[in-house]
Amino acid sequence: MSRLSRLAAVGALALMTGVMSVAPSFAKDVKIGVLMPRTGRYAETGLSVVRGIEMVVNNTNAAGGIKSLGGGKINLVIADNGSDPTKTSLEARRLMSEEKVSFILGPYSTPEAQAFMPVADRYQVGGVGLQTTVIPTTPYFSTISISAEGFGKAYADAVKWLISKGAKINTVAITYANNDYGQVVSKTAAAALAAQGVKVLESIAVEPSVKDMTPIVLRVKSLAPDAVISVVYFQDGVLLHKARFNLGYTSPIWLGGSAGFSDDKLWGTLGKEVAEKTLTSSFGLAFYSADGKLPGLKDALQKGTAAYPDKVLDQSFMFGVQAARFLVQALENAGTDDPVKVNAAFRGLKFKAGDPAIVLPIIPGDVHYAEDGTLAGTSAIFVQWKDGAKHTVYPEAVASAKPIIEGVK
Amino acid sequence: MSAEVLLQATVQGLQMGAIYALIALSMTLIFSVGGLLNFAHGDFMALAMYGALALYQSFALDAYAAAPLLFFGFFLLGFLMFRRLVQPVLAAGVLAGAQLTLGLVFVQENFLLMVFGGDYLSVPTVLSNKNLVIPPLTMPWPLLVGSLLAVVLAAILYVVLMRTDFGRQVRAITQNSDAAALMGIRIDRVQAIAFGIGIGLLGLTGAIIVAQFTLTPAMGLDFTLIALIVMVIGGLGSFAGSMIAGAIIGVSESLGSLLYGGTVGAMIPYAILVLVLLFRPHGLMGEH
Amino acid sequence: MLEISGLVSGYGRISILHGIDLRVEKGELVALVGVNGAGKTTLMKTIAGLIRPTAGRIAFEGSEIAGEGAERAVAAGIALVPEGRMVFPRMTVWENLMLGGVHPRARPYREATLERIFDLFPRLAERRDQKAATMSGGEQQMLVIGRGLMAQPKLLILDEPSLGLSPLLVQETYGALRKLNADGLTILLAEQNVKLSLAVSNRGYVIENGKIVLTGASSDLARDPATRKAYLGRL
Repeated sequence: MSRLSRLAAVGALALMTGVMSVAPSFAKDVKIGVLMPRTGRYAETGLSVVRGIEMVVNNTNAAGGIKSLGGGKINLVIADNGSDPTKTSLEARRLMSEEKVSFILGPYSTPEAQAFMPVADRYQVGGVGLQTTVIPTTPYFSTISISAEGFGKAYADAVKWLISKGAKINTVAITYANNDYGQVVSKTAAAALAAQGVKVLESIAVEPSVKDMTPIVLRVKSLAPDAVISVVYFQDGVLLHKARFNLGYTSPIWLGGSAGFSDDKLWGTLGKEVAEKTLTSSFGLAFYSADGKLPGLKDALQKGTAAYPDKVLDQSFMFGVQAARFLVQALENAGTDDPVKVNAAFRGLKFKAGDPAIVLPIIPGDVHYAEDGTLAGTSAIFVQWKDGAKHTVYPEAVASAKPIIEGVK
Repeated sequence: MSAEVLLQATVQGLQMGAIYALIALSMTLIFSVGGLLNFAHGDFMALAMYGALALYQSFALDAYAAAPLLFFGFFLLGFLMFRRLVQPVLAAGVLAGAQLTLGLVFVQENFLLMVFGGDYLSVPTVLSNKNLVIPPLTMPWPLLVGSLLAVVLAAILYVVLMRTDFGRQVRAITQNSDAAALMGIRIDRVQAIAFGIGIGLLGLTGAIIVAQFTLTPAMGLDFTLIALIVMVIGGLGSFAGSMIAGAIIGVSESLGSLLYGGTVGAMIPYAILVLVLLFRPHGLMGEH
Repeated sequence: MLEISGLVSGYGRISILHGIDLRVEKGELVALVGVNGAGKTTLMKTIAGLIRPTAGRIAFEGSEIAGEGAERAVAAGIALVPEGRMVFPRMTVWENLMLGGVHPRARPYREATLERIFDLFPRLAERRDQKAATMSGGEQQMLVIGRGLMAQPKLLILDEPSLGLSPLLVQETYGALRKLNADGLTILLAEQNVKLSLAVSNRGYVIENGKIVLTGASSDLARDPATRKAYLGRL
């Protein structure tokens, strides 16, 4: 080694130690907004999401903060949108213009997201929607759930998978909640099924405020389909299962979702008697199931149980965890608290299958953000109920149980 | 569509219609007291359903056994509320009374949200998930009991209102309250009792039909709407009219959903309402 | 029986009666005459407890009833047959009459009183099950008088019973009042029809702008030039 190169090496080392010793004074804390319902209709859900976010942030801060920011800590500014779109817009404005946050975790639902997006676009501060089925209309909003189109396709994929497992499905009847979301799901599913050569006998619109599903089930019965897809919310779903039970019509393969087939409280609300006759043979579309085979999920469940021993770690909690883990990675990649750069880093996120940052079973493989701000590589999961517990059966990559299909051994 | 399926849907519709009528009956009674439109009607019923839930959770009391308790409890609630709240406001006009009930909607919804949370809840009863099967018909027992009770209550209410001194006093107040006062009728007391009975009936109704529905704090509005529609179609203040209108709405909704899908089925009550208002503005059995 | 002194009453802040003094003795038929708007109806309603007076006393059989409400007046034995035939339109004749006797004081005698009223007004017996709204003005007037009698009153107050009736029906109505008075019922009668009311009554009061301006035996009042000039002249 020449003198010169030795000198260079020593210089480089000196520089490095210099940088390293100076680093702590550069440690930059970063302010992150959390915009969730903590009062009003979705209060319970919002509070659970916030618990998930706080757990990830506390763990990250305890483990030395964001390395690329010199160990800077994440400071959360939590705002309540009262489950209300108008308040969402006001609070978003406050977080961006007064609190000067670098990014916002939230809001929660689709109407809230629609109120949020114009504000984000104007202030150029990014946000991430947790259970929004809209496709973002601004580069400053991303989602981590599945779009309505994604759900529609998921039903068709599941039917294809069931056929591959030996189920005889030539005809399908669809019932859907008659609103934007239900119509898109129904239309996408019907188109995809037709493309697969499955005949869609009829798509029956049902008002979500329906008080009795018996006539609808009678209509489906008179069509005599091999399988039925029901796009329902919780209450109409309960009425659907009760009508199926009362009429003794349990023979076709029934797929449906989401809340009306996979909500944690569904089994208890229906009662064992009805649930066993209806849910156990159905395939419920879901965003989340605690039994999903993912290393990140197991880790989050463990840490969650330790942090909140008396709380139920539900779907909302895990969406909070997922959003926060994505954000931590985005901050690490950005190395700055500049909102525009943080948002760009968030949109640029890429994960390989099995990455510990992934906790949601709707992300079975590699994942990245598509141009439109939705996650590419997500897939709805399907669960089957047994004795009050849900078991993931599809996609097989995250499945914890084998499906039980009517008429197939 | 086979005759069997049509018959099943018709019977189902009749039973749902009787439930609608049952809810509309108490609204009719309350309306006959000083012309008060009770927009919190469905919410009082939701309150009764949650009451049935609380009694079940605390004392393992079945909703059907709790029904008389809820009737008396809600009667007292209605009686006191009329005296302390409704009457002073109603004195300022029917519109102020309607606004008060609108306010009660928010109070009750938020009260339920605070006490019971926003989750969906259900109350198991002895009749839950039991069906009476008379081939080819299947009839859920909760609906059957609810609909029979609706018929019985309508008959009792009719007799009480048309054939007793109390009923005549209630009607006298509605038709000419000054003249009623001249008869020495204690208007405030008669009205408070009638209002109490109306709210009490909602307590009873909530307990009787709780097995059929899923509880959520905001569930009341839908029931208020259907009760209003049934009451207006039947003719304001007519008990027989409410029964008939309930049956018509129930059956047409059911057959409409069966034959043309749920959206058409859900539109039918409104379509009938418009037709009735166009051609019989006083309702099917309403007096001019 | 009825003793009113210094009575001031009206609607809201507007006083219509400015210090009324009036007496009715047991068994009398007293007429209160005056033009439309003189305060007759206000006075009747105040006695019956529908309006709360702002000052003055109303003693009935020695006890104070001013401002105690309509129920108290009925309980004391005062029945007002209101102006304008306020029947319960969508109820039958029988139901209207039953309501007249719904007060606990009158309830035990309802059946017997009903018979008497059907004797007095046979037309009501014929129309027993007819809705009140479908009856003629004269029949409705009979009905409200009958309804007032159902309350077993000691004092029957009538406000303009002749208003809008044909002369024949007026005769019939007044005939009935005279008969009731002869049977011992005390009656206070408010009328615009001065000639007629002074003809049937024992004593009379003339009311003008909320004040009693003349009082005396009906026969004297009918002859009094002031009354003649003010009211009878116009007839």
